Amino acid sequence: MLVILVRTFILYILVILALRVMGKRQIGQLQPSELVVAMMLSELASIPMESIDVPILLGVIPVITLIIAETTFSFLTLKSRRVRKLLSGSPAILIEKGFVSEEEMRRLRFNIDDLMEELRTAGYANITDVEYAIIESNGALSVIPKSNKRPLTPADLNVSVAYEGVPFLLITDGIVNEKALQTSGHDISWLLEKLNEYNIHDFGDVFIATVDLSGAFFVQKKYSKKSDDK
Amino acid sequence: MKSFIGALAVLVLLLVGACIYADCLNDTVDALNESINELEASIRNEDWNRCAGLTQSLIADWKKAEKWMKMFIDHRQMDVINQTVYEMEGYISCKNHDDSAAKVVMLQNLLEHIPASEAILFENIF
Repeated sequence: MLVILVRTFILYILVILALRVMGKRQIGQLQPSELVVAMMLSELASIPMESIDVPILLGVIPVITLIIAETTFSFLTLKSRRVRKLLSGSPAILIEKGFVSEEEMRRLRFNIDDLMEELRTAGYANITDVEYAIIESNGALSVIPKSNKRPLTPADLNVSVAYEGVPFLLITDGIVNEKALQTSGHDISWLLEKLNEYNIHDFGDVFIATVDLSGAFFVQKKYSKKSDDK
Repeated sequence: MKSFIGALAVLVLLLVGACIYADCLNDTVDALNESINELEASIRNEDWNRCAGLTQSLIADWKKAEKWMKMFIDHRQMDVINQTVYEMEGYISCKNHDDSAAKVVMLQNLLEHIPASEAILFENIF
């Protein structure tokens, strides 16, 4: 039993490493080859987990081989458009300038109900609002609405908006992120001062603290309720 | 680029490791087969004292080989070989000529099957 426990830990770490090497993408955004690798990884890793008669190397070596193959193909798709097209396919335009391409739909075996469903999921219930609808190589549908149907932006109203950037996560679960603090242009003494304003005197009491480029500071104590907030 | 080079390096290591493993496996099985051939000759000559000594030596060599082979070979296959070795030992200690000879041949076959099934051959891949 302990053998299975140890093997499970080893293979779990190996699969996590393998998925890290594959890169940051959600399951729904994986290319076909990546999806195949993800499915095979789980199957291969489970073989030595289920049976102690099978040496662990018979699970480890195929997993490593798949990672090598996936890394190699990823590199090749990066460098060669031809290989990219061969392995990942290319996007297909289903709606072009407001017209549905029956030929593309037939080629992709995509029926009109599928198309309407995807459009509704993308937030466009009315097909007349769509200028372009493109099926990407990972199967997701990208929708480009007609210019008079797209969401309004500040640029449309000639409104200038201050640059927002991304907020900096300064403290997570009591631990200060020194790099984020430095990047935000502040230091520990500034952070302590800010926390004192909220009657907090120790970093360890903080669940989360953020600051954005406009200087807006957010802090939440650990185990605090909504009514406790300042 | 870094991960691609890393992957290639791991691939090279794997290939080198596989070659070393295949080499060690062949050498080990050849050495065991030599001992088995000697044992077979002794059984045919019904030299039971020599058979007992050779059997113990073979078992000791097998135990050493088994330790590292178990990391690469299915344990059920190893268990069958273990079973055959101990059955053979039993028949030899009982001075049973026919069964000892049969078990020796079976053991030789089982051992030769291991590198044969690991070789890069068309029938092994497909």
